[in-house]
Amino acid sequence: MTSSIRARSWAAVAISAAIGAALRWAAVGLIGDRPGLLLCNVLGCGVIGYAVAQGSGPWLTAGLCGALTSCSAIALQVAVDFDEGHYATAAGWLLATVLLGGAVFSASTRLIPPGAHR
Amino acid sequence: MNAVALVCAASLTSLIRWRCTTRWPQIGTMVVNLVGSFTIGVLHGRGVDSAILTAGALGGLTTVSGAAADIGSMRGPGRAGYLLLTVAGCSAGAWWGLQLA
Repeated sequence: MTSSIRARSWAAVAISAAIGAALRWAAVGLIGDRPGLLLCNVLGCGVIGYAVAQGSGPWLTAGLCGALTSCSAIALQVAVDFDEGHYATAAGWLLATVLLGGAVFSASTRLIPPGAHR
Repeated sequence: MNAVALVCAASLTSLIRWRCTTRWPQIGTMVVNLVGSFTIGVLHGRGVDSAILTAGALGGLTTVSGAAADIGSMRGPGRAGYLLLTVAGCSAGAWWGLQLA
């Protein structure tokens, strides 16, 4: 990889990550902390499934999807709920993230027929 | 202005995550997620409520989609182990961070 291509990749990841984080911030502000985060995490899993199947570049996977989703935010939410004794709430949001994220990821990888990409 | 700082912080930490995951595939994602979850617990416990640090820097550093892609690329028992370690480890890490603060 030449240095100019490498620099362009870094810039693409940086810019798309900024967009991903801005979208997450907007979603949380518009529909609330918990639903906004869940939406972003599930949406990010769906987009990355499609992106990986299609062989998309790091701007979409590491950049946009990476910054759109946040593992630390859901971990903190679960930890605070658990600490306050809201065990069912903690488990519910965690399970919703894992199950919906997993299901949407799995479904989106099948959107492209085998051999029909690249 | 806060929003600009937030997206810049997320952009910077996303580059760090990208560097880690390209250098150490799969393990890199897990490590940044564990470190980010623990750190957000410590910050929250100490009353640091800066969205630039939490939603920005740590939100950009950690990723759910990257973990999903890693799990999707794995086969066998490693897959369940990765999922369990990420889910339980990050939640426990954040909780541990809260207790330490």
